[in-house]
Amino acid sequence: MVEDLSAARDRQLVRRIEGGDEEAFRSLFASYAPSAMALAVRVVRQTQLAEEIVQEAFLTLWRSPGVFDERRGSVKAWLMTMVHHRAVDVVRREASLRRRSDEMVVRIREETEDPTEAVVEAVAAPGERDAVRNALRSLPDDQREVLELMYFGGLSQSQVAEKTGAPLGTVKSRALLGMRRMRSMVVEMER
Amino acid sequence: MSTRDHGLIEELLAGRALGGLEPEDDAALLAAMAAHGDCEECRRLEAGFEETAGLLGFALDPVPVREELADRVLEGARVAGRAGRRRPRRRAALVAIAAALVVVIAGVATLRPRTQPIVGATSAQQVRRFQGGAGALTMLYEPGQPGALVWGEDLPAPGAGKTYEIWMITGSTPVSAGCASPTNGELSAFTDADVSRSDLMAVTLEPRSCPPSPTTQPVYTATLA
Repeated sequence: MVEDLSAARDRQLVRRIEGGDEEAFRSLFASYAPSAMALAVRVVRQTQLAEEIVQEAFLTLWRSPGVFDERRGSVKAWLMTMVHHRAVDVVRREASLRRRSDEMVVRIREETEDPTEAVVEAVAAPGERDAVRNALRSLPDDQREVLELMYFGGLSQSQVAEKTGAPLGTVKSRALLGMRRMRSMVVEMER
Repeated sequence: MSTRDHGLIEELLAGRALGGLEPEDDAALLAAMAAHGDCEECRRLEAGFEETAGLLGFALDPVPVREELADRVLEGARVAGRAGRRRPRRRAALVAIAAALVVVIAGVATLRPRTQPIVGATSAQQVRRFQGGAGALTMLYEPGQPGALVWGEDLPAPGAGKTYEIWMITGSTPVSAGCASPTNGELSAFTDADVSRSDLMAVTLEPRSCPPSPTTQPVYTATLA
């Protein structure tokens, strides 16, 4: 019920933004910019670039709130998806960032037995954050690793295959199976 | 529920939601989705994976954001008349396009040089970055209005006898929006077409004759829907 109210509040705020309501914008910004920043920093590994990405995403929210289609999902997932797409785009385009990201992913894999722990271990926030964390933890290790490297590491499926030594087809299957399970656990939880 | 096989589409949509598709897989997804046409199951799968991926980001600890960042977004939008503030490099590219009109157009009449500045455009304008090949390719358009500006930086030369061809894809049929070639890696072109009616945009390498149907796989794609 709390989730339902939160989602409804977000949709209402987007409608108010369509009317140019700055307070509604600031409210959504306060709610989700820190998580958006965390995601952008995690993918591009550079604070200034991450800030630009977050600004771009929220600028899109301010300029074009009508792009959000509530039939397709939640406001918060839409915002995070915008941030993720931009972050991955930046990583793919910037060779130096690419190398840095690769090195970081390798280092994480070397330093942690379970790469997902690097992402979720420090999570302390209640509710949704715990739910996503628990859902990730419940995945089989090989599926979680693929999701981690692709989503948080910004790697393509081919790069994941190269990095893990798994055949490309296996990586694709693991991504699908992992996403199916996450969908059933996380998205269904939201409803 | 459609009786079509959604196995491939589901696998590709999962990969795309995670940001991990290679350009050729992105193109395969476009083709498969186009072949399915108006497909409710495809939309359901796409929305489910996109929502899932969006929520994945909440696994991370929030990172404090400077309070003035919201002000900067709003101020930037105000300054530009709600057309929004661009990253410096992109703004520079827009100005360069408007000022220098470095345009090389080949082929059909639907693509022509951009002759009006786009800085200070209306608030309804949308910017879409193409995914895929090297360099950066971006499109600016206004939903419901004919016309779109496509510009690129650091684009590879298409090769002898070749050109880039831009396609609008709605349903299963790609429609050419025209051909253009970069000069020193830079490209800007304007199409009269109402691209916002399309679900997807794609760019292929084609003979300079600018064929009416694509003969190669897309090297760049952008989702509009």
